[in-house]
Amino acid sequence: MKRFLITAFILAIFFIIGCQSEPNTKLTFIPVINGKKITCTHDFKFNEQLWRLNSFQFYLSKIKFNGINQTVTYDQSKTDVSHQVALLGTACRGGKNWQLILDNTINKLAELEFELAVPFELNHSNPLSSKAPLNQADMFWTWQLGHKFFRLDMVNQTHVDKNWSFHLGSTGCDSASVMRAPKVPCKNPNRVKFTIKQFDYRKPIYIHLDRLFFNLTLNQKHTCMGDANKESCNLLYENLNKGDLFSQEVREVK
Amino acid sequence: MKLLFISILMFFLVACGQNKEHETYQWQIPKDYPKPQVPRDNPMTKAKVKLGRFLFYDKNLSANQTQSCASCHHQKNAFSENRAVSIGSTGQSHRRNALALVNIAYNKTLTWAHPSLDSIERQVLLPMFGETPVEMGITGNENEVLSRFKSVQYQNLFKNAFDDESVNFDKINKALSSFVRRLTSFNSPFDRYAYAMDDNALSVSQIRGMDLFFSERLECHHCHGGFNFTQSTAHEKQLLDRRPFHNTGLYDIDGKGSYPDTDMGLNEITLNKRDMGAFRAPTLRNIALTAPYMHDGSIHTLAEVIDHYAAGGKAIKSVNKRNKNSKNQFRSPFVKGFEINEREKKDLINFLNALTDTSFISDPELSNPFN
Repeated sequence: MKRFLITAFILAIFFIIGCQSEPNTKLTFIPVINGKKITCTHDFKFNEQLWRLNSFQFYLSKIKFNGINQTVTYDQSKTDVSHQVALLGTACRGGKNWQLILDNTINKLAELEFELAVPFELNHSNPLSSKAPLNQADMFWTWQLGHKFFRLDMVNQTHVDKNWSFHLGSTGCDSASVMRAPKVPCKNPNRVKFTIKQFDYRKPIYIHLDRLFFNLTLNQKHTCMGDANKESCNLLYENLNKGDLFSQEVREVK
Repeated sequence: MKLLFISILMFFLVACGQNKEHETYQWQIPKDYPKPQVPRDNPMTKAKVKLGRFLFYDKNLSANQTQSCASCHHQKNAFSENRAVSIGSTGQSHRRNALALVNIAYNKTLTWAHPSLDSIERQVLLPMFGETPVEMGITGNENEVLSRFKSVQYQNLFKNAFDDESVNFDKINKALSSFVRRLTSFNSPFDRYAYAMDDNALSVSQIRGMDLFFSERLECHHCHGGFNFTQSTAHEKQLLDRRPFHNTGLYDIDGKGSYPDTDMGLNEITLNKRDMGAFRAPTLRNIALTAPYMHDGSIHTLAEVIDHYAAGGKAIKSVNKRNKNSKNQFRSPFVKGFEINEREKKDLINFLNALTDTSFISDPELSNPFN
């Protein structure tokens, strides 16, 4: 009897541990403007105007530590999920997620790499049968263009009718109609790679939106929905490709 | 002792497992489509859907026995009503247009403008018990209404649905909600083209219209995107919920963006100035069957709806005449107006017609069971 009890106890411990999550690394993201955190519930100032977030979401993929591919993980209640892509951000009136969990434990400084994008092989598939988070309708254009990799919608609180949006995704995609996927990569993939050389797992990653806005006047005229011929889009792509949108350093500018 | 051992094992296996309570229900949706979220205390069953169907079409559910749910939600109109606003059982006018009951199992929020009304069970209570306006008029007449559902037929229906033939409003509510949740529609020419990959399901004009619909020039998809043609959706595989509302520039009575006192949309609930005139974008599935349009049924045809959005909201013109002020601070940034020629407009309307699912409006399983 004693042997049975001991075996049962050991198995019980085994199952308790089995129900718990594995050790992992959490990447926490914080959007900032001039070093100051921004949220959906408070106005923020940029270039002497007041703004409010309406939606800020983005996909990350091809995440690597010291060149080794990482897998995105979720708690056990989430099934049918993609382990290659993470969706971060908030749609303000809906849910939010600012934390990405990787299934490897990183406990020392490492080089972190990721793409602000959805890989081509996942980007143009049927959103209905796609695994979460690739089934988020407000982050999907069409099968032809695929997903919006980055979506930022802001409301101007100072001037009426001067709201601003930036939706980033692949453009120049050739297919029979908007509901058909391209067979070859799009002319402008618009996937941007970022590197944080000395990533410290204990610190958050700041998203410096003021660096994205560099040299850009924010208003409806300068909204960018991916038009490669639009000056504002080209400026935004240029700012993104500087590679300093994400960093672990932050300094508040008064 | 072995029993104890097995019990402990079973306990932990169950603790690690998933809830399979409603997995047996066969949804009438295509393979691989995500299933709707269903409340744990009202899992879908065929028996409840059947009872709900009888209740949906039964005028005995209104206090004066003149109206059923189907009086304002006609199957031939995709369970909407072809009048601007509905009129309740006592003759009072509702202030809003009856929404089509199409795929509402996937809605993140119900009704036209409420950020937290996200359960069909709670929504169904409004027409049943609401007093401003009176719709079914049950409030104050509860016992009399319940007494009408004691026939042998209903006793059997209740017993099959709930293992108990007693009648109460909780059961009525759950059965009605189950039937309404069953109203799924995914068999339009668009579905056959987009998801069944049938290249011939849409005409050339409809494909041109579809390309326009999803273009950044027209911006329709920003509010009416996704598999249900509304961004306000939720389903079992979706990690993050979305509950957007939009001001379409339909009214601007003072040049400052105000809507008429009779209906200020989401602002009435949140009291947030930014929510003035904001309403939930309804699904566009079966939209050709659900005229008139907008929250107050004030636009009669799809062609006029396109004109409205092409103008950047019809309020712009009327306000311009009075106040020379075309700016509406509450209007959605995606309603900024666009140029569209006659052929493009025709193509767009043809595409919207391709969202009609004729099998949905002729499905005998959804029709009046008393006929």
